[in-house]
Amino acid sequence: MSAELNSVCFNLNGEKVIVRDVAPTTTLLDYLRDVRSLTGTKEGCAEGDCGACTVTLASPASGGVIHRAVNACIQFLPMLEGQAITTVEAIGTSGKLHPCQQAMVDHHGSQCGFCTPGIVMSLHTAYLSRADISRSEAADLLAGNLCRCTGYGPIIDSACSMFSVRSTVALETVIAEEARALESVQRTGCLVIRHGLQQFFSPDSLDDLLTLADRHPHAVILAGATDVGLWVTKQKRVLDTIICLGRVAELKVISVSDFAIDVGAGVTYDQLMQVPELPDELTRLMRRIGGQQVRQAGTIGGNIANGSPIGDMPPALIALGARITLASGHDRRDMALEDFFQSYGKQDRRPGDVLVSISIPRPASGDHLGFYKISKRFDQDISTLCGCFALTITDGKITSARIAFGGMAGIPKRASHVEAVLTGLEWSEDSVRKAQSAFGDDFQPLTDLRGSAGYRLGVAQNLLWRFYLESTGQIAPTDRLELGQLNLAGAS
Amino acid sequence: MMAMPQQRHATSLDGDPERWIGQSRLRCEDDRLVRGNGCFVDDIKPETCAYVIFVRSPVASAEIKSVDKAAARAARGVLAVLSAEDFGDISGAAVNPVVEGMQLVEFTVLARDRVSAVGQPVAMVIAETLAQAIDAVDLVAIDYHACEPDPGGAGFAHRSTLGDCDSAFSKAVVIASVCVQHARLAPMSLEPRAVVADYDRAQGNFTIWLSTQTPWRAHAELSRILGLAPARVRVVAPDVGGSFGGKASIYPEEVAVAWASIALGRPLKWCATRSDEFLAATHGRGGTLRGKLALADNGKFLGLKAELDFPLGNWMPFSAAIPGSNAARILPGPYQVGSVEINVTGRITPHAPIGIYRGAGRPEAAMLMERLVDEAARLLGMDPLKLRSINLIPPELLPYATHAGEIIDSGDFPKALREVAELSDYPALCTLRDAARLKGEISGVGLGVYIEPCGRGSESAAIRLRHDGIIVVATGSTAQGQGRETAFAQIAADAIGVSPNNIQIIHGDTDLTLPGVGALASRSTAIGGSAVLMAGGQFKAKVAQELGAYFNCHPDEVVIDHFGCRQRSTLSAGLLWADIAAACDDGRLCGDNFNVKIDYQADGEAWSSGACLAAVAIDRDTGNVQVKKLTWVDDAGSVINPMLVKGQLLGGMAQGIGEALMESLVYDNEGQLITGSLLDYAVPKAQDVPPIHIHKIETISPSNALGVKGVGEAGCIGIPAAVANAVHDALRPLGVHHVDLPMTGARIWEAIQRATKIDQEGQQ
Ligand SMILES: Cc1cc2nc3c(=O)[nH]c(=O)nc-3n(C[C@H](O)[C@H](O)[C@H](O)COP(=O)(O)OP(=O)(O)OC[C@H]3O[C@@H](n4cnc5c(N)ncnc54)[C@H](O)[C@@H]3O)c2cc1C
Ligand code: FES
Ligand code: FES
Repeated sequence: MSAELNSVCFNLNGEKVIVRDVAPTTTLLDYLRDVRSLTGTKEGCAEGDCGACTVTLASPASGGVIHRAVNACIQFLPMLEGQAITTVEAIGTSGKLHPCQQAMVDHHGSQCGFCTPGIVMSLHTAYLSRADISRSEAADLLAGNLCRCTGYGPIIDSACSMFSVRSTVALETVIAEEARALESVQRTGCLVIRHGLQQFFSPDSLDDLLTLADRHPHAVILAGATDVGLWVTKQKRVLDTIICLGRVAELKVISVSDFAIDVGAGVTYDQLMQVPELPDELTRLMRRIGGQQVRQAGTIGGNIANGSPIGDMPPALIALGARITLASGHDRRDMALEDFFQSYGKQDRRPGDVLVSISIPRPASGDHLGFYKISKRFDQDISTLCGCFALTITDGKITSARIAFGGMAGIPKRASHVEAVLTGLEWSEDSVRKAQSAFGDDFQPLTDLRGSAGYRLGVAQNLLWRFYLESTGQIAPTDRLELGQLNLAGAS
Repeated sequence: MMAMPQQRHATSLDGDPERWIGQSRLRCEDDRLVRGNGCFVDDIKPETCAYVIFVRSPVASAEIKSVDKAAARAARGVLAVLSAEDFGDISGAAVNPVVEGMQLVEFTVLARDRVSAVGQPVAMVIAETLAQAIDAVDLVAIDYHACEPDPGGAGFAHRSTLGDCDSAFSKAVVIASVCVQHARLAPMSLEPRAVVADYDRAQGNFTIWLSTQTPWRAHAELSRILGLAPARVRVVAPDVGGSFGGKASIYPEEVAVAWASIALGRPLKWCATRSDEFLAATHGRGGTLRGKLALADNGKFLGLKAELDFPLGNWMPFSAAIPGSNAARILPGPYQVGSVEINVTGRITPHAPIGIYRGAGRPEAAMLMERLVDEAARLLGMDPLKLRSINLIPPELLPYATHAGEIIDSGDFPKALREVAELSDYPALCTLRDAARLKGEISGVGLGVYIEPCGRGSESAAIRLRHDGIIVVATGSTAQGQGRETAFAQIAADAIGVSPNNIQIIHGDTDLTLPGVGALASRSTAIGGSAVLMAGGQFKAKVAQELGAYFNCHPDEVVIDHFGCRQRSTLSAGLLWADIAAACDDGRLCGDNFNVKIDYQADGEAWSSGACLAAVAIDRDTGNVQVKKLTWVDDAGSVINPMLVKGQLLGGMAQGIGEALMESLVYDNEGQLITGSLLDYAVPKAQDVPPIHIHKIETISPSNALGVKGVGEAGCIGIPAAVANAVHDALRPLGVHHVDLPMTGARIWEAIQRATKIDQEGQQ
């Protein structure tokens, strides 16, 4: 094991801070508000849902700095080691508002102002990391920010207009300065924070991570904290031992070959979505997971390891035929993703196992994909069901069918009966009709407030039909169901 | 809340306009808010502040056998653990007895012998830090014995009639019948409820920072309940992060915190968590409204019979009966109906209380009436637009006395409907819809016409000249995002003849304002704004008088502008406002004469109105609704700041979309709330809010000095009705005639399946 660091070191609004003797599950939000009296950052839910607590997180990256918008309410303070936080108080000067703030004033983007700091920081992060934005991209950007007062239109106007004054040159100077400041907080060694009965480890190598996991087989592995954060803030659980993989560079690697995209377990949704080789259908599905803040913190590994029956990645990855690798000490276990999920709440993960990578086969040219997330609300909503289809069609016949659903059973699950019916048939309306009736053999979904068993089953069948129409070019694939003739909507 | 005078922003305005009223002046509130310098209750932390957490009932109905506080009391950092026995016979907050014979159910501060809803506070833990309070909560052992819920019964019942409804129905050619089940909704202000209570034992002064719409109501209630001299009590509503009716009256938690601050002699803070909000803040809507509309063969409305059933929850906030009584007094909406018979009841239920969520009965009235009109149109085979235009109250009949004794003061409902039809090109839209249907798409067009009473009564305003020459206007109205500081400065500027930069608006602080009502019922600009206008006029007259004497000229010769005052047609520079203030200080002028205090009483109630159109498409596979088009014509009377008005309309519209399509609080049979977080309770996000065309017409209200009408609630009234009608229009060809609110994909899909099944069975 490498040397121990017993404090947390990061930049806050341009100043280096070193925090000692802190409960490791102290959230960044509580630290900002209670310890630093930076009360601009607001708490609207403490569960990652509302975005009122959004701050800009800067991390060193090869060739510069990566900016992310994160929910301070579900980030634990030691996760910030070696990074920089900017809060709303620090982006304007006393004489002059930051362009994103000024845009919010000019377009009446704030009413009660409680969501405003979070929205400003979402805009600020976008301002740093992109050159412009369309209205629909702006709405996407704001998916993790709730505003109850404005109806969003004025905020979208603000987002679109702020780039008009953006100067890349000026920004480069700012970012270069930030990169230098970040260098001053880079440290090597394993972060070890002990406080009362709690201990928090944040190693900076895979070896150390696996050693620690071996030594503390019942520790909570922490990645982006978009699930674990809520265990603390919402369920009030006390976590004794935490091993954070945030500083393990080996787990953040994405490598692309002709056949597969290999993804480290610590890769965030957002990072994966940037990979050009990723199937477009998957990128579009991921765009519907959480909001910007959740996608920029949450990891693929966390989404799988969490084992939720309604996680959105597993059905898609299972349909694509993904395999995962678990590591324990020097042992490696490799398995098909669907085999990882054994029953509700139970995965094939032994104490001390760490999920290290996910291998996503790249679809071949004859493959057809269709991934559908059905929820009450378009953005940042839990799936009622998530249906994912991957078919290989050779000479008009289905030679392979992989179909997996979330929200239809206690685990993400393949529709093996449906697959069996389809395999060998022509990809035709007739085959779809035949296969639809097999869904009942695969799934006995639950009725809950998101939808009845009948709804889930019926929609699952309809999705196969929709997939057929889309994959045969009879209707255009869309995530937003752009329906029909009445497409007259205009803005004012 | 204090607002610094607006620094001059680069606005669209070049120099001072002749009139500030009517300008889209940028908000003076924004500078602090976009910088994170706003000051909300949770941002206030008095030294030695301790923290409060409430222990809440996990069950809907139980006897409390015992509350064992010892273990929690012994936990680290804990200062006190309190339960009902500690509070003696402290009373709850007053309920407005708007309905005659109403049974008033006040809250109990902490549940005494039994609990009557999940989430009801039973004990409170006070500790040095929030974390310590949270840790100790689980140590409070409460022994609950589950029991049957109280039968509850009626909280109120009221009947109003006009003419002979039975005979009208007997003459009817067509009787449309509709039942609307409204979901319970969460007001969901982004800032949860919060209170900081700081009792100063030495001086006996008590300051309470409260996230509220009604600081003066809180002031009166807290003084009374705690037995304190009102002069010793100061309630401050600093920046308030939204309210929407959810912060209109005080809560048990707030009384408990205030009481405990006195008992402990320490400042205490309680901030609700999001789950506290879902569980135990007031909800809205939830009513079941049934109506029948009788029509003659020419389409004339002959009679309306309606049964309105409103749930109340387990205790009553101040305005508990308002949603029911509003719905009853607004029906039959903007239409002329010969006879009316309306029964409204309020029912006590084992759930969280229901309050005046944005609209408070107005959306319910509009939804029932508009659904009835569409249903009637279907039965008559008449176009819904035409049927409406036949029956709308024509402008020449305004002011119009209603069955409930209301006077609809102004408006032009046929014009609003005409304009919405023209702007949206209604005939073309219907043609498109029909073409889409032929292609197998599910699409529909719907209208919603509404009227909206905007509050009555009085509001205070006080104006004085401060030592630095700033004219300070204190209003009894309050703000939770409406931009009051901006709009009221425009009103005062015009009334006095200065610029808004000369003005500072103060609100929300009972030490700095005269007793007032607050921000409710879309009343603030109409009544509070008119109070400022009148006070401004008086202030101007006094200034002219005083300065006339000083300049030794007639008051009419005194020119008042943003620099100060001077004598007309002389070359003398006159006095700057700062000079005038200095002259008041040193006795050259009489300072008293620069003081105005008024309590403005509105002549009547202003009624805003409007018409909305929605076009929707529905996905056959999932039932999901997509709003393709929204057009809205709103009549808000004269407009103080068009930008702010549009902001209010847009925000209301988004909530209206949420109400129509996704928001719903659900209790299970055991009374457990199963939508207690933002993941389960879907509030619209940016992608969910459709683009909209908003257009205004302007009929001046004769009911208040400014001629303005409310805008805050309109979006929740007309929009859901139009969307509901569009969805029902879309589903009609499939044989679906009824979908409950919210019209989620799952609900619509099920309704389509049921109808298809019936259809298939019918064919067999
Ligand atoms: C507001 C909000 C919206 C969301 N929306 C969606 C959504 O639309 N769809 C969806 O699918 N999910 C959603 N989520 C859930 C969440 O984003 C995902 O489950 C996320 O991928 C978890 O990743 P993480 O890195 O944050 O994991 P963490 O919270 O850090 O960990 C999650 C779990 O995985 C374990 N774990 C993490 N990494 C490893 C590893 N390498 N090896 C072994 N165990 C590991 C942890 O111990 C824990 O049990 C949402 C969450 C929030 C807060
Ligand atoms: S406080 Fe709501 S997301 Fe953090
Ligand atoms: S301005 Fe109030 S929540 Fe956005």
